[in-house]
Amino acid sequence: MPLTGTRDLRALAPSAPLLPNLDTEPWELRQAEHLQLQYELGSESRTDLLPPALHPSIPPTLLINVTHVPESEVGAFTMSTVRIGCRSGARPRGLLVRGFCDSEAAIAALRDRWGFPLERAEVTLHSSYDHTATAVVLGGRSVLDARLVDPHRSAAATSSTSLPSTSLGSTGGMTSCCWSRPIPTGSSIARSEAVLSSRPSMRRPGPCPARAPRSRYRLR
Amino acid sequence: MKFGIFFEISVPRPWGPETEYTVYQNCLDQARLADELGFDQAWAVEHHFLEEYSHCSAPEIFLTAVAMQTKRIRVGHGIVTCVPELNNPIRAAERAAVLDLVSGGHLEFGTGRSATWTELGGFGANPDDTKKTWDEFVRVIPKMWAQERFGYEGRAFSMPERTVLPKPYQKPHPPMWVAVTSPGTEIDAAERGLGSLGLSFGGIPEQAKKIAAYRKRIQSCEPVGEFVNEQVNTVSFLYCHPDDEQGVKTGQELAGTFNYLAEQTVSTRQAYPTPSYATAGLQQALRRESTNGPEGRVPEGLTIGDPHRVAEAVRRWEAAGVDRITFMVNTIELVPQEAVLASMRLFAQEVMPQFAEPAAQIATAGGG
Repeated sequence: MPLTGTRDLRALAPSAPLLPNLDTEPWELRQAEHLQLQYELGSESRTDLLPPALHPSIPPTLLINVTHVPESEVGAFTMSTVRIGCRSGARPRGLLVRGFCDSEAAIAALRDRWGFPLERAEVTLHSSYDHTATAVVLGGRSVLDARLVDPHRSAAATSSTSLPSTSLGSTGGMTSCCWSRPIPTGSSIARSEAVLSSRPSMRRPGPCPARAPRSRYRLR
Repeated sequence: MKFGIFFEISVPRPWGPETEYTVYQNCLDQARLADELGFDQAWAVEHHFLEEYSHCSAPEIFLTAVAMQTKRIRVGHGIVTCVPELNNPIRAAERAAVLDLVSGGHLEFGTGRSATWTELGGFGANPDDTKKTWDEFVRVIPKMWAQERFGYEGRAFSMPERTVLPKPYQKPHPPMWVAVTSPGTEIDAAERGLGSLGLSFGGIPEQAKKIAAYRKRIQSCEPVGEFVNEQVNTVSFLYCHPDDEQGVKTGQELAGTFNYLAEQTVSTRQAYPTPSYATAGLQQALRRESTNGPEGRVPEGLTIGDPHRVAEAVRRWEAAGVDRITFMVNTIELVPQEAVLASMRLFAQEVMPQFAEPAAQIATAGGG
């Protein structure tokens, strides 16, 4: 059977956000702009980033998602997440290992709903016709700096698959995997190759793997 | 109705020094028994990098071994990935022709384009282009076989005039098929006069609609080859056991495990939004159709259970218009080899005779 994660859940559990309950209403975010960077991980980290309940995808992948929400019930916010592509049984998932957001209210809302482990940071997402740029600055230090050159519209938004997220949450003294499923209803997707100058560590607060991520970067 | 077996050649972890060898030998045993029992075809997929799920990356070599160890079974090269980064069309035509020669004219030639980023990304192929390159391959390969000399200037590849050698044993060439998973591909098959190699493992009502559309459209097709191959093949899991409960239980484990492994790969759609892969493809269809029967019942069309239940499933496929069913008989060695062989024997003894064709039809069938 497929490989399973080897990450010690006991080290992760104490930092799992406390959730009021596991019943969460959908949250509609209108006019949102979304950027996804997806690339392949080296095989050396395919299992040690995941807890034993999850399988690494074949090939192992890492996804960085940045979402700008111009208006919501908690106001405007921009967030960025780092996820490891995996499978919960046969179900495709992205284990949310780190996240950043520029709004305390949004951090609280996303934590209470789905256990998103977001840190307060400066998060930006700028789009123009010839490029898209995103950055995360945490405590004055750049942790994400990526730019997409010459993105071109490639398909209707419904022709892509948005990977549901899995994150850890604590309810009633028990740590559970929570999952959230984004349902894009937008009109189009632009796609390009990316230049990634820096990216966040996949372990909080541990160091990045020694070897730089390889292969190609794709936006959708 | 004709019956065949379908090899993904899935290899369970842990991978010891003997694991792949044992799986390959077991598959060859199954092919030899299928030939003895009267199964009509043995198909082998082409997949790359799909850990455990399929270690069948050189099917033409495996099928050559099958052909050398059997007497009458046809060998299905299904499918050849028609993407130039994976297969040069000249080499695909040459390899297939040799396989047809050494098998004594037993080749069935399947075509397709791959559905996973795991494979396409591994070869650096552009998913935007695979539908176009498939279309180009299926038009030029039969010409390489049928024409003495062939030259071509195209989109995905070009070649000066040469004699592509050898020529297939079957004249004018082997029957051609296309793997049908995405909606609309059955029409692509019909428009080109190709056989429909259904790979969705279930969902008879939906399949029946596709088959009807295929049958209608192929009547006015412009065949890419020298003849029209109007045939519909579907794939199912086979576990036939004297005890119905045991047969269903093991068969559902077989289907569920295969589905589980399929989902571990990264589909093209998950990695690369493109109109060329507008639907999720094989994996979602598998999950929906092969493991989720209504109210806990066996999904219709799954050929598992006792001979009576299996025969009923075959009848439903027959009523839907299917000409052939090819069976996946194991996955990651979940079922012990002796039980797999016993299942095949029981099927051949109890079910196959119920669908035997008149001798006159058998004598003329098989060459397309």
